[in-house]
Formats: sequence, C-alpha cells, structure tokens
Amino acid sequence: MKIIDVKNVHKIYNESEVKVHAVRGIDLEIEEGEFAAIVGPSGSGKTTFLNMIGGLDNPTEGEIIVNNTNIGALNSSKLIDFRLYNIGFVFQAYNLIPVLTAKENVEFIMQMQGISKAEREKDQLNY
Amino acid sequence: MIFNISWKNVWRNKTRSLVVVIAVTLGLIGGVFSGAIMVGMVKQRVYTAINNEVSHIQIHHPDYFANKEIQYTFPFHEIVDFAEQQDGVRSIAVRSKVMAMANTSGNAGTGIMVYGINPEQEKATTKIYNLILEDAGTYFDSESKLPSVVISQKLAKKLNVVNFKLTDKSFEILEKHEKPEFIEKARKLKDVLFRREKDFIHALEDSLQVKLSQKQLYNFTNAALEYKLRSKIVISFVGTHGDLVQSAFRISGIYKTTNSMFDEMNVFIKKSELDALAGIEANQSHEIAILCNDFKSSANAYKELKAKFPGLSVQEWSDLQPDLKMTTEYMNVYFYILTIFILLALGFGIVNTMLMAILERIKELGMLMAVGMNKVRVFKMIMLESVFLTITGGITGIIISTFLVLILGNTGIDLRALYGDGLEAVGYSALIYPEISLKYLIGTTILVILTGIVAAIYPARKAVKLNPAEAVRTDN
Amino acid sequence: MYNFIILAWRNIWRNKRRTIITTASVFFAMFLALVMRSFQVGSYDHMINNAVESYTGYIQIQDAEYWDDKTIDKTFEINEDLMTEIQQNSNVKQISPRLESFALASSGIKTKGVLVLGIDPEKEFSQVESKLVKWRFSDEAIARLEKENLPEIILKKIKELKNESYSYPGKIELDLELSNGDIQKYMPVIKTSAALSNSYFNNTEGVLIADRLAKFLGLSQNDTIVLIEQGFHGISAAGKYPINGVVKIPNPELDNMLIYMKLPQAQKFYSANDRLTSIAFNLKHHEYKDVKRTKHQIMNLLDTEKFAVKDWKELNTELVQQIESDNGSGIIMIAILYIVVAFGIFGTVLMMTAERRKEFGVMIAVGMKKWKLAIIVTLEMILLGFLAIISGIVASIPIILWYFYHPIRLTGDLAKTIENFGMEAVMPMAFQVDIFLNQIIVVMLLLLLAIAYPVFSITRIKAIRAIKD
Repeated sequence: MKIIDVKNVHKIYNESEVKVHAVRGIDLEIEEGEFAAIVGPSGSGKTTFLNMIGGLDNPTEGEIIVNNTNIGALNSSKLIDFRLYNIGFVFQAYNLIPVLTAKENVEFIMQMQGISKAEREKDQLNY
Repeated sequence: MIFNISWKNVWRNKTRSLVVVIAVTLGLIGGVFSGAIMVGMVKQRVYTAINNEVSHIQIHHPDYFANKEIQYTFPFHEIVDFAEQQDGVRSIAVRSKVMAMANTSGNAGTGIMVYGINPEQEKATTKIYNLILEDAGTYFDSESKLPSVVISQKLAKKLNVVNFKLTDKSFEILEKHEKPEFIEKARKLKDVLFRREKDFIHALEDSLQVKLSQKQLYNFTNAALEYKLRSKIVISFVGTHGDLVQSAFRISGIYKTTNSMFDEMNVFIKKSELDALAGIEANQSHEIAILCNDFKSSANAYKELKAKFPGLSVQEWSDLQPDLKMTTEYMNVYFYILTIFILLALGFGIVNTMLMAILERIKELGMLMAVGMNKVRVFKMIMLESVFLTITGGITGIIISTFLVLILGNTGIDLRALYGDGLEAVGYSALIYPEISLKYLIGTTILVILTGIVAAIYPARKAVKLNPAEAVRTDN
Repeated sequence: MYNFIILAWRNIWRNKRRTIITTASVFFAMFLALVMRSFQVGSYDHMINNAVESYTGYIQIQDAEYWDDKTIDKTFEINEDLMTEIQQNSNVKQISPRLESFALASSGIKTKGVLVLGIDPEKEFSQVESKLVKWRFSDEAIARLEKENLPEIILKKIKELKNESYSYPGKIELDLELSNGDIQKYMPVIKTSAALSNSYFNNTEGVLIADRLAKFLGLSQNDTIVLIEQGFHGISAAGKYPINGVVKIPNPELDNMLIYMKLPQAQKFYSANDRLTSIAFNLKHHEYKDVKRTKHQIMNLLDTEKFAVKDWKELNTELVQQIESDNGSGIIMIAILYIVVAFGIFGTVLMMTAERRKEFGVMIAVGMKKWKLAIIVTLEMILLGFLAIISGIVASIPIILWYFYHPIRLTGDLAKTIENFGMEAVMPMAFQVDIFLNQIIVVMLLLLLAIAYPVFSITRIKAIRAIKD
C-alpha cells in the first residue's frame, strides 16, 4: 500500500520581492515498509520537501497523501494532530525536551496521544 | 505531564525566576501587610465605637436630637421589657443626659455632656468601666460625701486636676522605654510636684540638658501623670423647670478611650443623682442604649423596636455614626485596589520574563509542535509556567506576611507617641493590631493566579504563532 | 560621550518589545505615583488652608501661659507702637486681634453655653462676612418656590430641608444633589425665592449669631440676646445685645454655639479692657519656611517671657499628625510599587547582559575597555528611564492640570461628612513642581540601584569564555 503519495508538488517562497521556487514539481510514491533516503546538494530543497511530507509545511501546488490523508489541505491545527499520531521526527540536532529524562520524553508523546498509563509503562520499557 | 514540564521549565533559569519570585513575594508582603494594618484599624474603630460610644441601638424622644434639650424624656420601662425579650439582646442601659458646664477652682468652665447612668447596667453595656486608668480611681466604687463623677483623662487635663510627679513607679515604667543614663539624670526630679505640664517639661529638659523628642516627651509625661482624685468639680446646667442648677461632685475615677472627641465631652454620674438635681422623674430617660450579640441580632432587634414604638426615634449604630459604615465599605475596595495595582506593576516584569523565556526556546517549541504538541497544549504549558512563577512568589509572600501579621497582631504596633493625638482626635487608636481574614487571603491568591494567567497571554500567543518548520531551524 | 549616547539609544531599540515593556512598567508606577501624590498633597493643602484661613491663621501671638490654660485670665495687652511695628513686617498680609471665651446665652427660659469671639470686623481675616446667611428655606420661601416650575424631586428635597440656612450656593447645590444642568436652570429662581435679608455688624453695638444657635434660642435679626459670663464663683458679668445678623458656620457643633462680637464690646463684657486672647496672622507667603522666618522676626520684637508666638503647625498639632500619618501611608504604598518595578528592571537588565554576553565578549576582545562598555549599558538604562519619566510626566500633566482647575466635587454621605468638618467637599489636586521633581529623583535612583549589579558584572566578563559560548 502506498503510504506516501506525492503528486506534482511545488513550493514557492514569496519572501520580499524575490520568488524562490524551492521545489519544482516532484512526484513520489513510497510503499509501506519501504526505506527511502532523499539526497541532494546543499540548497536543493531537501528540507523543504521533507517538511511538506512530514506535515510541517503546505505545498504551494500539488497533492501530498500520507496514510490515505491529503495533508496538503489540512490547516496548521489539524496538521499538528496528524503529526502527533502519524509521524515521528528525528532532528539533526539532538532535540529532546531538556527538562525531561529520555523515558519521560517518550512517555510525553504517548500521553499526548491519549494512551493509558498502563500501556505507556509497557511500551516505554520496551524502548 | 504538562504540569511537570512547566514546573521544571520555570527553574531552568534559576536566577531569572528567582528575581520574579522575590519581586512577587515582596509586593505581596507589602500589599497584604498594609491591608492588614488598615483592616485592624477599622475593626478597632468599629469595636470601640460600638462598645464605648453608641452601642448597637439607641432610642430617644423624636425631638431630642435637634438640641438635646432636657425636657425631651420618655418613659422607659415598657421599652426595656420589650427589648429584653428580643433574641440576641445582650444588655440595656437607661440614661439621663444633660448638656452642662464643668468648673474646677482655677478654671473657667468648659462644656460637657453629663450621662446619668446606672453603673451595673453600664458595666454590661459599655466597656468604659474597664478603661479606668491605673491609679486613677474606680468606677463608682468609692464612697464620699459628695456624689461621684467619672471623667476622662483629656477632661482631667483640661480642668487641671492632674499633677506631674516622677515617683519610683514612674521610673519603673520609664526603664522599659528609655536608656538608663537618661533616666538617672531625671532622678533629680524624683517626687517633685509640678502642677503644670509646661513646668514639668521645662524642669525635665533642664536636668537632662537636651531638648526632648516627641516620643520621649510622651513617655515621660505619661509616666509622671498623677490624678488629683477626690478633686471637686462643679457642674452647672439648666434643669427641667428652667432653673440654674449647680452641684459639686467628687472625681471617683478617670477613664480613657481611643476617641479623644468622646473623652473630652462626656462625664458620668449616677442617674438617681442627675434626676434629683434636674427634676427628672425616675421613670423617665433621655436615652436607652442596647448592646446585642452581633450585627445580625442587632438588625433584627432594630426592626422589631422600630415597628413596636413608631412614636420614638429608634436608631442603629450606622445611623448614629454614618461614617463608620462608610469606612468599613471603603476598606474592602481600598484593599483590592492596592493589591491590583501591585500585581499590575508585577505583571510587566512577568510579561518580560516570559517573553525572554520563550524567545530562547524557539527551537524547542518548534520541535514540540513538530512532534505533535497542539496549540492548546503549548498555550497551556506557557500559561502554567507563568502561573507557577506568580504562585510561588504569591504563596511565599502570603506566608511571610501572615506570619508578620500574627506576630504584630499580638504585640501591636505602637505609634501613639508619634500619631496618638491626631488619630485619637478622629477616634482611631494609634496602637494598631493588624488583622487579616481568610477571605482576603483567598481573594489575593485568586488575583495572583489571574495575574499569572493574564501576563502569559501575550507571550503564549507569540509562541503559538510560531511556524514549527522555521522555528526548528533557528540558530538562536 | 555623544557617540556613546547614540550607541546606547540604538541598542535599546534592538529589542523593541523588551524596551517597550520595561519602559511601560516604570511609566505605570510613575504615573500612578504622580497622580496619587498630587491628590494627597492637594487634600492636605486643602485641609490646612481650611483650618488656617478660616480660623487659626498662620501665626498667633498669645499670652505665654494661654496655651496651657485657655481662660480669660490669660489675656495680654499690646501697645500701639508694637502693633505698628509688627504690621510692618513684609510678610504680613493681615493681623486680626481677638478676644474669645465662653459664656452662657439666654433667651426666654432657654440657655446654652456659647463661645464668644470678639473680633475687629475690619481686620478679621477669617471671612466672617462671607458666612452671613443669604438664603433660607423658610416657610415663606417654600411657599414662593411651590409657585415656580421646579421638578417634583427638587421641591421634595427642599421641603425636607425646611429652615436650612445657606451662606454659599455650593452647599445648596450639594444638599439638593443638583446636576450641572439643574444648577443652570433652577438655581437663579431658588436663590431669589429663598433670599434672606441679613447684615453684618452695624452701629448698634450688636452681635452676629450662628444659625443653629439662633434657631435653638428662637432668635433672629433685631432680637435681643442675653449673655452671662459664668465663673467658678458664680455669675460675674451679664449683657444684653441686639442681633445684627445671622451667620452659617459649616461645622454643626460650632454652628450651635458661636457668637461674634465687636472687640471693644467683648473686652467690656469680660472686664478685660484693651486685652486680647490672641492676635492671628494671615501671611503673604505661606511656605513653611517663610512662616517660620516671619515667626522668628515677630518673636524678636516681643518679650518672650510674656508672649508666646506659635505657628500653624503648633496650633493644629492634631491636624498635622493626621496629615503626617496619611502621608506616611501614601509614601509606603508608592514605595512598594517602586520596589516591585525596580526588581523587574533588575531582572530584565540581568537577563539582557546574559543574553549579550557573546557580543560583549567580542567587543572587549577587539579592544573596547570594560568600563566604557559598562557606561554604554548604564546609558541604555538611563535613556530608558528618561523615556519612562517623560512619558509618565506627559501623561499625568493633563490629568493633574484638569483636576487642578476642576477639583472633583464629592457627593453623598462622604461629602456631608466633610462639610461637617467645615471644609468644602472637594478632592483638590495639587500642581507642584517638587512633587514631579521628587518622583524623577526617586525613579533615577531606583534605576541606578537596579542596574548596579548587572552592570558591575560586565566588568567581570572574561572575553574568551564569553565568545566561546
């Protein structure tokens, strides 16, 4: 099953008078279970593209369907919820919540997802 | 979990948070303590007004108040019987009252109000019998050929029935307030009698060779004050038959309330004696004063009496001293306004602090929103941080000030030397016992929490508006 | 130095938000302090002026023993030459000689203790003439007013105030609770209908009597009043006097017992020829330092064994204490506010220096002397302080000026209580330069205190470590 389906996605930044056409018409399909890497030179738009797939940003044009949801059409609140339940990020820099332990960091996300305390305990130990 | 995170976030920058917490603590101590002083003063005023001056209810002939003329009496038995049956009525005092002039030898008349009382009734209704000063006689317990009169310290000074003499006892008292070397120099004047305050002060300043401060003057004159008990006072007034009545009385006791206006005017003699002199019949009175158990029963009794005796003037303490009620109401307003101003001033500091806290965490906030922390949760987290800040300071401040109030509310703050005359001239004691009620503390806590919430709104909105994608890439 | 200032100015606008919020907090405290102090000082001045100008005067000369024993025995005599000399003092506006004591007044079978004030009508500064009753809601007046087209509520209040006397229109407006519109529409007709014929002292050697006292004794203009002086040993003097006019004294106690008499008559009544109980002074310049100076000048002219010269603070000790205690509480309130704001500034500057550590490190590394850096940061805060001070003053001046020229008129029970003390029921605003100066100084001092530690910490920066972070 296609877990990620990207069709003709463009992203144009309109800051100041100069238009930056960062992503120009990408199509992409990734199957469930597949492992993919996106590589390219610095400034090629990788981060921009990944942000859009990850639901951090909306495309200027085109469709992004993740897990059967057209996330390109979601507003920022719905995107946040989508990310909470569907997407996991690992950032370049080491981005845990500083005031929590590693275990608590994991627990925090699960708590936001509404998983019961018992289940949380079980899952955390697994990690 | 957000509670946990918020709380820990507050202490990430200990210095910054501590500064805010200390500011809130100090501000609250200031506010709560000032409020407590005000509350203490007003409560004391109401207490003394009701217990020494007006009681809860007073009844007069309807025409009496205009000029307090002697002929406006009314029979009191029926009223006393009815009043005794009302719930919550603690005691009743029946009085004759006459406006008169008082003279002593060497003093040309001063206007006074003579209360003709029944000592047993009065003891149950007012606290004046308790306010007889030390070594200043008794409340109608002494026997003498002439009838007794109880006057105030203020009147005693005015009528020149006081002396100034430093005795051993005076020095004992002084030792508690003044330095020993100082007191030693004053021993030269031991047992020397001065008839005038001015002469006493001159002699004192001569032997001490300093100009005395107000506080020292206060302490020395109070310690040396001696009353010429058993002095004779002549009281003159016009009786019910239009005749000029003059009669001599012996001073049996000297009292002092914290209301020098009251003290200056009012003297007390037995009703039987006043009635006999003035030609008032024994079943008549000018005034009935009623003391109740609390404000509720007084309101009830007032209603009943007013309904039962429409031909008489029945008044409550708030009618007799309208500014008392006004002051009590203003007190509430004043306290909350003061607290609100202080919290507003603190609010600015808190907004600034929260803004700084957010600006340095942009990357982290972006990350949180990226992993799915929604706007409501972000808002809540920041708001909680702000509230934790204010509450920490708030509770510390409240605890410290409550402590202060409890201690000082016991010992009292003695401003009598500096402000005694001025405050007592309007009926307030300068020996202040601060007091704070749970109601005010709860109200203040709520306001503190509100401040935390309101101060967080602007910073929290800024955080929520962040674009996670950009935030995460910030270099800070 | 000029460059430093420009640098400092630009620096504070780098973080606009923080600057605005910090400035706002100081502005808030200062604005509040200015308005509150102006109100407080305004009421104190009002109370003092009232006591002084309606009775005690700024200075009084008395017999040396009078203060402790205010009886007719402690009078003094003063010769003409001395009087002229005193009058020539440059600060003296008016001196009023007085003889006052108690007596018993009687009319028919009614008697009452009264206070007799012997004055010189031309020299008396306490505006006795202005207290003459000009309007009264007598039965005839009410009958006249019923024929005019007054609104029901006003007419009802007038009837409730039957027999009330007034010497100035403001009190009528207060008692009838008239709005500004009402005042314009109805006051003229009220004044005309309720007007009372009355006069000041005339040549019949009569007296002026206070309104309530007159009503109690059932006396009015041209009636006769009997005065008896009552000493310890019995009656010592008696006199019959025609009533020239009725005055309304605001304080109800005094209104029930005051009699004004011409000085020579009073002296005759008390057998105190050419003697006075006091001479009261109205001065041109009444700042306290001027009052004290004048007092000492007068003392130098007199034998201090026989005479006492007292200033208004000594004559009104209770009032002075009341003012001082209220003053103290006001200052404490402002102090609390300022301390809170100072902490806010301390925290802000502390954080700001921490934030800019790297920047400071770089500057020091390239050769900026640490103390110069400290000066720039200090200047930044001083400029911020100026901003707050100026905005605080600019915002408060319109309000202070407005209420200075249009004092708040109080209404209701509060107003009546104040009027009973003999004062106009207003909350006046003072407009005094030293209130502003005081606040400016306090704010600047507080600022310097708040930034002392953070700025000092700049001098301890180790450049290398600062850059590394």
